[in-house]
Amino acid sequence: MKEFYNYLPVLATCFPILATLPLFFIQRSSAKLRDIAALVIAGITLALVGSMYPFIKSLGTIGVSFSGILPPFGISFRADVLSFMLALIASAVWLLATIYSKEYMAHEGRLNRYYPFLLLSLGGCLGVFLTGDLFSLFVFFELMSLAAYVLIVHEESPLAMAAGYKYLILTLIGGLALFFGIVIAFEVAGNVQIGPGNYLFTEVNRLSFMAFISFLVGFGIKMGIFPMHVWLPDAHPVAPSPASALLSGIMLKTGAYGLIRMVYNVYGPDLIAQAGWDKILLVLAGITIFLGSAVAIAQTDIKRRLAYSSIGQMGYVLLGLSLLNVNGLTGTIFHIFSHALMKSTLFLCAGAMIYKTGKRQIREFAGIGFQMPITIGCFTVAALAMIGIPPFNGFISKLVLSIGALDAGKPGFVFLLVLSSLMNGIYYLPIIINAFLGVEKEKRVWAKPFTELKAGMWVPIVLLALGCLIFGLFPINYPLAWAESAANLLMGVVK
Amino acid sequence: MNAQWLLALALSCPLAGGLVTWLARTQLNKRLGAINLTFTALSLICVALAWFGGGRQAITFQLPGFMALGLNFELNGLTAIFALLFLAAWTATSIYCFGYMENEGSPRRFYVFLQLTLLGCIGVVLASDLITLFLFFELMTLCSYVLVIHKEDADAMSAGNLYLFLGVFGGLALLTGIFLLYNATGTVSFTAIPPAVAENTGLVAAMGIAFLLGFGIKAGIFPLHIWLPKAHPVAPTPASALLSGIMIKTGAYGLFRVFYSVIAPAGQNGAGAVFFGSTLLGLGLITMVLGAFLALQQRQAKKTLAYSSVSQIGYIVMGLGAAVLPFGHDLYGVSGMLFHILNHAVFKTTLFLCVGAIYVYTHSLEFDQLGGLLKKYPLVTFAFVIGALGITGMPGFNGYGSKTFLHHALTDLYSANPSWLLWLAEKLFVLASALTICYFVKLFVNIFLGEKDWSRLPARMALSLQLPLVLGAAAVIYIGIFPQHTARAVIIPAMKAIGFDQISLEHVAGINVWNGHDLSSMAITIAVAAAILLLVYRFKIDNLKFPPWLSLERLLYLPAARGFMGLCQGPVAYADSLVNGIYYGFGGLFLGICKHSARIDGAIDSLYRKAGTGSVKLIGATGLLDKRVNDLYSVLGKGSLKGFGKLAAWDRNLDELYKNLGLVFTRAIGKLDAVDRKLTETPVQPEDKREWLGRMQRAMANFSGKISNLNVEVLVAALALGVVVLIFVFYGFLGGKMN
Repeated sequence: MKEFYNYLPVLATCFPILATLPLFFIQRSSAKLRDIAALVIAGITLALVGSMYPFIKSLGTIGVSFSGILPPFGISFRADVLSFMLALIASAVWLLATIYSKEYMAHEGRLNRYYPFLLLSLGGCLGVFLTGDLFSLFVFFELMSLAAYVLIVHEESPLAMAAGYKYLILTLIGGLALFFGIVIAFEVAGNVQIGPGNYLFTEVNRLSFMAFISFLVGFGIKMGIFPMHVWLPDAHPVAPSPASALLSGIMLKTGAYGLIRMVYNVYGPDLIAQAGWDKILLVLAGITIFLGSAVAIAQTDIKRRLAYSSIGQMGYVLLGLSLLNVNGLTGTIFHIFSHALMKSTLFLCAGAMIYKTGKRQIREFAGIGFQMPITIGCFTVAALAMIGIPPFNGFISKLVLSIGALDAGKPGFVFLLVLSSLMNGIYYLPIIINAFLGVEKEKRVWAKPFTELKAGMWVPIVLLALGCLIFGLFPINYPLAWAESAANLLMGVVK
Repeated sequence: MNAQWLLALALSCPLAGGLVTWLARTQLNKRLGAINLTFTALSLICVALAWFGGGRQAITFQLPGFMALGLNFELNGLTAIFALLFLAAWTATSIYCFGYMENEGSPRRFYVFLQLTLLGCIGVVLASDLITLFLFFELMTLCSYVLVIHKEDADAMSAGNLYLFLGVFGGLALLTGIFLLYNATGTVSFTAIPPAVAENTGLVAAMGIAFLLGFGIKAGIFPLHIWLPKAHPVAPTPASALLSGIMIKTGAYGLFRVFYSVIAPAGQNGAGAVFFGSTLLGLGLITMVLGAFLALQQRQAKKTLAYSSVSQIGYIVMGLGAAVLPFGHDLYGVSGMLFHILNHAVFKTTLFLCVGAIYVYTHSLEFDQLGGLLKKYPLVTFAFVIGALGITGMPGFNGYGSKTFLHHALTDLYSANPSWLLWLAEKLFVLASALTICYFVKLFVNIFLGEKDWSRLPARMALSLQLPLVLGAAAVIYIGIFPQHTARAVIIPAMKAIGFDQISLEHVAGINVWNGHDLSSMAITIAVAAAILLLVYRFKIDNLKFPPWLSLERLLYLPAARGFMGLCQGPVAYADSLVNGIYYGFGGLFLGICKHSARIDGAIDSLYRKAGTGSVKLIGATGLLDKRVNDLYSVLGKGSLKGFGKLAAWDRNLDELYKNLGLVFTRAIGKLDAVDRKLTETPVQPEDKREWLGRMQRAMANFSGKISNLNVEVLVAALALGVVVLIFVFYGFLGGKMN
């Protein structure tokens, strides 16, 4: 497929990165101006990403490359429908989290450090989605990972520092492994371009297997799949809630995106199937799904429970992409999208609950539904979506994934998905029941909705929760159509 | 109006009703109840207009693209009957709510979820494919949970939890079944699976079990019934009546559609038909007898009725089993089953509402605290007796017709396939019917007979409580007296819709239940019941004390749940922390190695230092020796100097001589040198210093730079080890610090 010259991916990626510089000077003069500037930057980034849509729709793939920067690889940018879809959801959730941050972060302090790194990691994240070759992807991947470190250790408590250190070390290992894989790919193929049909590895040998493992470790650590998930349940809960929402909702997905590119663009589904390496991925996916959901049941801290839930959900994503068929891949891409909405909602709601009550243990939240009806209402929507209850978006992704598993002739994974849904029910439903029902009569006084939180906090939550509902319900489901066309493109199916 | 839009309107009424109730700024039961009744009745009217007004033609309504799947509804003979039945019962119960919900609290929440549950129920029966059915099934499960736990006391919450988790589990099992079906056949509509799929017995078995679990939990068949006797009694009575009278029928309806139309369709005498037919028949019989027996053991009115529902669902599932079994005629089973679903909805709703009406005034359901209400509330007593006569199948009341149809199904099976199991089935049928009579006698005696002072109660009941009872009782009597008419008006169109031919339909229309044979079998049932009642009277077999471990919950469900939770919280959480521990362990290990390396390094360092010190000392000693030698020389020198002075003078003379000789020689050599220079005029070439650089370049060019030509394993191992050691040094540093 021909690529059309377009600078929008470059602009969308570089704008938030470069904008941190003026932000640095603005924040020295006025804190209020800084908050507004951060919002404006996130908003413009979203607009830039959104403005790619007409080009993507009419031209298919757009991009531009600069071979002079960082030779011999060069930096190139490229956006197809998959990149666009993920960049769009990333920048949208980022904007909402930035809105949320203004109220939420007021009690956390150190905002002059927080905002620049928030935007820097946005730029890195968009860079990962919008680059056209593996090396550029690696550069932005590292940028995002390091910027996110600062967000994780924001509190600077001993716990946060320890978790951050763990994250940093594992990220370094991941980055090095990824780089190693890219070097091998360059050696073998002579280029590291990502593009349809441009498979960098064409035969199964030790070298390509070595590169496969390197990519798997590199992206797997970021994605949090077993056994490389250990940093995740420590790092996500200690970060401030908007950052947790972004870490779990978006940044994990960069790893998933990398794996999709690896399997479908670097190796090609046929080579993976021929080599039988999809079985490695499937086994890891199975373990990740079960382990994430099971351990989440054992957690009592709400954010830790959500973090383990993310591990289980990343298992779904890995499962779908390793099924090597269109339905599985569609399910994966749609689940990346759905999970971004659901998990961000849940983390922002959990943040609001912690912000309002100062508590973190799940049993302490009895009757909180009466004090915070909007927040817990949105939490309920997102949690039901997570379990896969119709009519929310999580149901559709599980449905498509299950059909993909059946298409691949692996009904065992349907049972695993169903079992995991039941386990999701076991750890999410008690939170909801506890919040609304079985409360003593005198405590059952409804707070006036919309006064529980400031608008800056409830608006993002409500919008995200509405997203969970609309993208499940809406008759013309754009993200699903995009996911389908992206999956067809990746699988090389011509429609 | 277009019939299609009427159908859409009927479905949107409950949704709108729920929304309006939610938005209504009032907590007054009367107003909220009025909204509830309006929307329910409107929905009923819409369905009735669409069906009867449209000349009883099948109507389809589609909502393509909804949830990316599309919703498909169909109103036909079968679904119209179910929808109308559900809506009629819902309307009657909505009237009842005016009187009942006055003293229950949180009326708004109740009505909102009552409307949504209604939407779920009618959606399930109007759905024309399994995905649509599933969506509404889930809606119904989740919304009815809120009805179950309405009281929010400890009992309600624990019953609700059991209900919710089994409900979610059932929903997922159903979804699995749908996936398997879709994958095998490519369709989710209620059409028979193709023979190629039917031959794959493993797949059919997996599918059938998934559906059996999914719908069976909702229907409450043995051994999946455990939630039912807990959840139905704790709900407010209107909800109990609808749960028992209507909602469990959605499970039966689902079983019927899936097993009768899809998995084991008529005309395909595959292994699936025999297997699932006998399974359903067997489970139905066990459920019938066990439910009736346990109902007899209860000492609380709503619990008795809940177990009674379990037992009656057994009848329905048994009829389905008889229809699915490939021998005999399936028309008896199907007609009996459909007829009994209708009848049970009528009398069970009536009975629950009777008990609830009593509860509103007495605030008690325990047998110990009730009694003597016959004179106080004769109308309730009348309705209750009518309902009881209906459920026990007395001739002249509605249960007689359907039970006779079901009995026909069993005897027909036996005559087609005279095995002792089917003989036993017929006897169990009689036993279950006899037990039904027994527990209703017990219920009636304990609530209405005897003497008790009820003068504190008001003499008149609220009209809204009485009206639905009268309607129910009237329906019981009407259907009881004209069973053929009901069959023609209700059962025949339904059977026509699922594809029975005209001969079968005429046969069903021609069944006359008023014959000596059927009446005498009823007489036998009554005789058995009398014998059991004697036993009850003499040996108190209605009040057996079972050991607490002897329950399905203790034997099966709790261990399974605890085992699973234990697995999650124990080994799996342990495995997770183990992986984490491995990371820390590696960190610690490398930290240890590094500490050791540092120690070796220190040792080497100190070795150097010692060696240095030794050298310094050695050097010092050498210096001393040197000095001594020097001294020696200087002493020797001083002695020598004197001797040398004399020698010097002599030497100077000799020197003069040499100088003169030297001058001569120098001139001679100068001459020779000039000659030599002329001979060797050619300049000397400087050596080429770039020669080795070129050689180096050639060597480099020959050297292969491809990594693939190197020994990859060694390179990778070296690199990986290097990286890992480096990283884990830091990582371990952290680990050490944390410990």
